[in-house]
Amino acid sequence: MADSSVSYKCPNCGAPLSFMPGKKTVTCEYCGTEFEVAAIEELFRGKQELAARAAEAQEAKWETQDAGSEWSGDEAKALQAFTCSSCGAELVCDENTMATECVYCGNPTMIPKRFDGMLKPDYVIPFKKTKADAVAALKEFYKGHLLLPSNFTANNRVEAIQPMYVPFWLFDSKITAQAEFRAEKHHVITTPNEIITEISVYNCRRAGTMSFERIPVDGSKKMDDAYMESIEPFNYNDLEKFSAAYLTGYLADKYDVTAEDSAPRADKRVETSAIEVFKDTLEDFDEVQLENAAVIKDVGKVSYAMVPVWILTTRYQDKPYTFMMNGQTGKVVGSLPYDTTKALLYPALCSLILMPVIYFLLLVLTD
Amino acid sequence: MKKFLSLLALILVFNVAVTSAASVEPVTDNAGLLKPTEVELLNQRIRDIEHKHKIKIGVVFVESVGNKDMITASDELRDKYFSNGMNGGIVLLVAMDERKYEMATDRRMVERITDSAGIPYLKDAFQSSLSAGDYYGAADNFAKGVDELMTYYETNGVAYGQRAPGELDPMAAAVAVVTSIILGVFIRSMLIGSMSNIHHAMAALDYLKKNTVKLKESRDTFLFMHVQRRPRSSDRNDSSGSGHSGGGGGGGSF
Repeated sequence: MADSSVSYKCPNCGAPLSFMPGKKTVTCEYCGTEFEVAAIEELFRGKQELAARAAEAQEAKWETQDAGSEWSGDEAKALQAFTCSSCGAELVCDENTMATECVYCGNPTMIPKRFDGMLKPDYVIPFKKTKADAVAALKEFYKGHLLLPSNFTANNRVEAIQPMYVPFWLFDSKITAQAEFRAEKHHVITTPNEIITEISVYNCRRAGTMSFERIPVDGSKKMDDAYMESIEPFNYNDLEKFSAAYLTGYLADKYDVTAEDSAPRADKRVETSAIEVFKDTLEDFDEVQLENAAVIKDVGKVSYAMVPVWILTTRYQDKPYTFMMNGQTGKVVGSLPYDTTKALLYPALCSLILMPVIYFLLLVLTD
Repeated sequence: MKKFLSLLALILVFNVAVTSAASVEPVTDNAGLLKPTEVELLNQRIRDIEHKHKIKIGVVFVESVGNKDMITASDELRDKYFSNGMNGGIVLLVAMDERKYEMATDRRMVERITDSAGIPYLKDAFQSSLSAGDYYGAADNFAKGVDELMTYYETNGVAYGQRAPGELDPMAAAVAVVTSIILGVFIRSMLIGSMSNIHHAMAALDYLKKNTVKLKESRDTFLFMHVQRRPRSSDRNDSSGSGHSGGGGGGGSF
């Protein structure tokens, strides 16, 4: 049976190849040989085509055989089995997995069939942060949180650390925007008997053009949008032309939210930004209120990129906590548990300290 | 003719130099409102109070204060004739043409009879008599009121309406408790909020190409102006709050 997956193995020693963060080459961890991304791509192109055809054949066979009656058609589509080219074990992954790791032999594995019929990414931001960086960054993230339960860090053990390339749509947008504001200028005059405030009300119109470059919107349903927006921004100076070789050794998903479905989120951010830009021109006013705004997209270009994310999972009191780190910049995001006793005690202590201070301040002010 | 004589008397009261303040009687009736016996009785009572508290008290009835305002006129009377008391001086000026009265206290007296509590206490003591035309009763009640307020000060060490040193101010304590609880709740929500840094990105300013921003229209049109007026706080008990210079005081109509 032909392999339905491709392992990127070292042509020198046969060990699994990994893309090392911070390097421009694919490195064999065992013999230390470094390969150019283009060379590896060329080397494995034939194997990928073969593996893709094998997967097609396997898929067709599976569809006709009605194997495993406990799976419905949809479930079978979503959870498909591929064979590991290294040890022959079955790799079970969901319908969007493009690259994964064999749970038995740890071999990094590509699933080229998954590239078919979908857009090929235009760009990739290679991983710059290593697993050790991610663990260290998470420990650093714990610091400075007063309400963190004492035994959280003491008994904390990271259950899973996964590096993943997440599909992102990058929206380039040139817009013409206009907005109308109601703005006020306040002039205060103090007389012996009263304080007079003269409020001058203005109608302020602003219109202009501006361009946004590569607003990122994740194209994966399983990645929480809020997490993905929190790990921003990305430094596009590291953006590379996509090559599947970058994915080796990492998990990677293909998009399952189309660019059309992602566009409204980018549009909303563009509109908010345009209003902010216009508001910045109204600094002379004391109060500014938006009346209405219109944003017209003159040029809208979309590109498809794979973005590096470290996913770290930990458990506290039987509840999982997921943290994500931008694999390029090292920014960690997540929600930490808090100690309910500390959450009552610390504010209560603050209140008790503040109470006499406020009391004496009031006495000084009223005397 | 009577009005002319009263004005002449007032001018004399205000402008004739006196060599000794001690020679001025506590009660001066240039409006002809009191009988001589009443004036004498009042003088005696007020002298007793002055002696008891080592203060100076003046009660002056006039037909008119002329071109001066009540505050200036009462301040001048206080400064010229009633400011040499060891523990301060106070004067009550009553002008019959405008049916107005004004009290003026000097710097030492304003610490004993405050504008915020002492002056209103005195107003309550004599204003009803003044309105009823009982001028003797008004002057007598004024003097009694001063006596009571001075006794209160000497007994408690603080002016009427003021807290004794170390005494809890219930209003300030209540405000401090409520404010610190609100701040505690705010701090709690801040601390809990700091446990997560997950949030949706609302804008995309990180991806804006700054050099591409071109403003094509920037028009500010003035629509209208409205004016808000609010009175300045008048709860201060110093001279600047009452309008009196060099002390305190307060007045009203009857």
